[in-house]
Amino acid sequence: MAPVLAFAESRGTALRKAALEAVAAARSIAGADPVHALLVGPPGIAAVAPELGRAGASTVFVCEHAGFTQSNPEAASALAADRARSGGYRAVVFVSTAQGRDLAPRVAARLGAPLATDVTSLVVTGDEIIATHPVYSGKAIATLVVTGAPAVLAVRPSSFAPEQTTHTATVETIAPIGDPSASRVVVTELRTGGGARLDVAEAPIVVSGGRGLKDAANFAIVEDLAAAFGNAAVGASRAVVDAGWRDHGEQVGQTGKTVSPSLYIAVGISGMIQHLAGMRTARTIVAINRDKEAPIFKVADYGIVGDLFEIVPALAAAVREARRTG
Amino acid sequence: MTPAMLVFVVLLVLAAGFFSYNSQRLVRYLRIGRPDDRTTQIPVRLRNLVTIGIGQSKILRDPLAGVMHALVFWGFLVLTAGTVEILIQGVAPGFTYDGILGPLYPAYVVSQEAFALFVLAAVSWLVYRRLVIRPKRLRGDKLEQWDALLILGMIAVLMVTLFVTNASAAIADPASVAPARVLSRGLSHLAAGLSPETAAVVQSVSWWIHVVLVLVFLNYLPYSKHLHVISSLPNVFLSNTSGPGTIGAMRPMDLEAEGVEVFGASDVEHLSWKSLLDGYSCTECGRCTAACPANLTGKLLSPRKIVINVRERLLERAPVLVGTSFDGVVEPAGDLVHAEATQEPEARLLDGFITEEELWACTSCRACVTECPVSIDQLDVINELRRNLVLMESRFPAEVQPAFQSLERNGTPWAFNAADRGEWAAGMGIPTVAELAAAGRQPTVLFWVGCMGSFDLRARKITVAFAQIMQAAGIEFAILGQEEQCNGDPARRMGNEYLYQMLAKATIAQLDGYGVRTVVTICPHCFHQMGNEYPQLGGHYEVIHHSVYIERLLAEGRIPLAESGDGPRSIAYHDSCYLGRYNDVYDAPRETLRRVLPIVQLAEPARNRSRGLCCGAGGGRMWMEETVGTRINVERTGELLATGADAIAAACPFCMTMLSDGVKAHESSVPVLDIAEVVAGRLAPRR
Repeated sequence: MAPVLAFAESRGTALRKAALEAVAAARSIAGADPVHALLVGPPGIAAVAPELGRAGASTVFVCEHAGFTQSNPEAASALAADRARSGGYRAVVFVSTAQGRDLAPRVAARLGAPLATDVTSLVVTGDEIIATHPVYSGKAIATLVVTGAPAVLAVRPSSFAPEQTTHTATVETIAPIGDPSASRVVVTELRTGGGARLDVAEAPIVVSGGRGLKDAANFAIVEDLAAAFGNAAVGASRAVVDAGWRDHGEQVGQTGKTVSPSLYIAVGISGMIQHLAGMRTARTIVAINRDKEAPIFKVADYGIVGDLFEIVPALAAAVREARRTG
Repeated sequence: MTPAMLVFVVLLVLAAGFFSYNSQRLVRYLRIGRPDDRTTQIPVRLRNLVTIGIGQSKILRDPLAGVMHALVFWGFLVLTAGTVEILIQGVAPGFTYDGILGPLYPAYVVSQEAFALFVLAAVSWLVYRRLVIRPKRLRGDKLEQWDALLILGMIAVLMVTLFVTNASAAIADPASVAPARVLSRGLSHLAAGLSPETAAVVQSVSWWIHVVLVLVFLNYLPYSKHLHVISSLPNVFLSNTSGPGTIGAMRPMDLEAEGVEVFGASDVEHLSWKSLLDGYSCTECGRCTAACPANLTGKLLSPRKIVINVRERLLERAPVLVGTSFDGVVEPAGDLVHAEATQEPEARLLDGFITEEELWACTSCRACVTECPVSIDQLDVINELRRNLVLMESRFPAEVQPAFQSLERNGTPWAFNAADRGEWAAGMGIPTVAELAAAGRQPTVLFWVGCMGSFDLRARKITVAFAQIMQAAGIEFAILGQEEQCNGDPARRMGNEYLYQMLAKATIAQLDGYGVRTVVTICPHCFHQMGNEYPQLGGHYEVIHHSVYIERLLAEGRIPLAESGDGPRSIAYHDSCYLGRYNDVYDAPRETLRRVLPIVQLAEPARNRSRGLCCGAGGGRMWMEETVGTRINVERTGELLATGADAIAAACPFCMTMLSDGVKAHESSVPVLDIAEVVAGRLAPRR
């Protein structure tokens, strides 16, 4: 087998969680072969290379250029394709984030290589990589047999848990292909919806609040619970978005975002069809509601009937305690 | 022939000629519209003409303004006979109907005078209303206001000159005025000092003013909203909004028709000619807009504006297509497409006059159509424009995409798994149609559950309650279970006719395959769609809404009720649009409540029955965001809570979800119950 290349996603000079997931996914198919990581970014990005080493990459190829200050799919994909070609890799792994969904097809096209996206599991059998990915809104799982090398794979966010090792990676600096600043696609502005918050559609844990919170200010306890997890995003029901308590970007449901986190906590949400349509596929659903007849309990794995103003802060404290001792 | 007579005849010919020219021009404009057969079922049309037209039944929905208008209208009918008499006098001085009517003549004279007085009184009140009361619905721009006042002024002067002519004639030549003209004769006593010569001059001047004004009035009509004076009776006759045909059914659409290049309508020539006639018939009274839930809660949509826009655009567009002069050649329909391609995108009805935002604000509640005194179909235009947006340009609110996608993939507007459809029935011993068919049997009725009833966890309780009622009544029914899928109605309401027909045809094939005849459903939308619109695609079933079905079973004594039960003492029933205005079901749910609740007091919200306010979910609004203005469901729930009732009753799962949400928004704890739940709550315990 040949080595596997993981594309390390970054924003500015910071590494994204997806970078570590890409390395983890790459390791899952590399077997005994080495995993290399490709890190592109503005000057200073090299500082995060050791993190990739700890995640399991043996070599980190770093390309620093001012042209990578903002997302630069054209230059980044050119570089990734070049690296993949010269390194004789078995596969190039991305994560199906906004960035990964942009890059992976470009790289596959440049290489004339097979592409599998939104992959939830990877198995290697001989020369074949067997990838699964959900189709039809998650109602069916398609199994793809990817032949030929390199294979371009984009794994679904949160599908591969990053590892923590004590490895140290060799860092190699590489030059960009052409001038990244001369890219035909120029990002002129980046507008963020909710500051540095996690996007509700991508977060592995979502804590959502509904009308049961009674007032916009009471969302503080939901935010606190999300903060306690560290990797949780705040979501909202349509009712509270309509009431102007929360931004539409946080709305979970038919007319908002469809989420599928590993843990979904519904706080004071009754669970009308429009909301269920957006979160029903979460792996574990916890509902907190005063009304034991609330429909949300029918889809919940764990239900807590009671006063959310007591339960949510207690839960936040318990989560913090567990993380501290855990 | 005296010179005066000559002048009169010339005036008459000119006026008649000009009027005839304009009338023909306007009729020619209608020919740019799409064909639409409105000559079917003449008896029903005549009935509408008599009740809605002559009888003014829809105008009288607003009692005060209605009576005033009816007086003017009936006055015109009566006085037109008098006007003809007066016009004949222009060429044959001294002519009266005396010789024709004989002994009836005095009665005719009295009716003339009486109605002239009524009209004068009504016109005075109408002017007062426009200037002093100023109801919101009548507030238009300055031009509209002047147009209205000008017409009212003309009518007033016509009535005054009628009296003055006759009164002065009574002084000039008492023998020429019938003794029965009591009012004119009485009026003449007030001017008793006038010499017969002066009176003759006054009579002549007044007669000329009257006659000239009649001719001016006639020719002003085609340029004014008062064209309705001429077009509204034909419009009522040709309208389908109160039948014939199925009320509220959307226009059939042949997606495979040869040569059709435009689906739906982006401009006036794609609308039915009847929609164009609607434009001529609108009096801009604003009753539609005043009843519109979207408008009421601050959205841009105004059904009145939609109709006025159709007229405005027609008057701009039609001359280009058919010319204004008589020698203009009517272009064949094929050229219309060409004309479309060459015009600016803004220069058309869609976008240029009516915006996307207005169209998507519609809940299809049919309040506008129900209110229109002259049977205009505003909803038809909205639906056709929506179809064009979706089918031709793929333009619809972004949040509708998941609904369309789920309908296509999962056969339900929400991303739910078809396998979970029958989940609610677990352990209830309800067979599926397939199971019965395998045993060589057929159910008496098919219980069509619908997507809300299958997947919405609140609505599932309604489903279970209704199933329990049918079981208690010993009805042999079955469900389709996993085989059921959306019947297509949401897609159709949102303009996606293609997706609708795909789902509807599949459902019809399935139902026909099982030989289903009778269908009961808890969803008014499914009920309307399958009962009223499926015949367009060849699906013919007896479809019964559960409120009617339950009421029938109760009336037959087939539902075993417990001796006494508790429950709310007063209950406010909310009318579902698709049950009420679309299907005229108002009494069955109310009667059911009376039967099953101990001492029930039915509290009626201010808007009820055919005036009931929509919950806000119809027309696909269930799958759209409501970001402009206040929320319709909160408004409606406020009206229901204002009754002070212990509970709110609904008969539609969509209304249920909207009202439940509204109750929470009002921070109230009043329960919202479905009719079936109320009945199931009183079922006798099983022995």
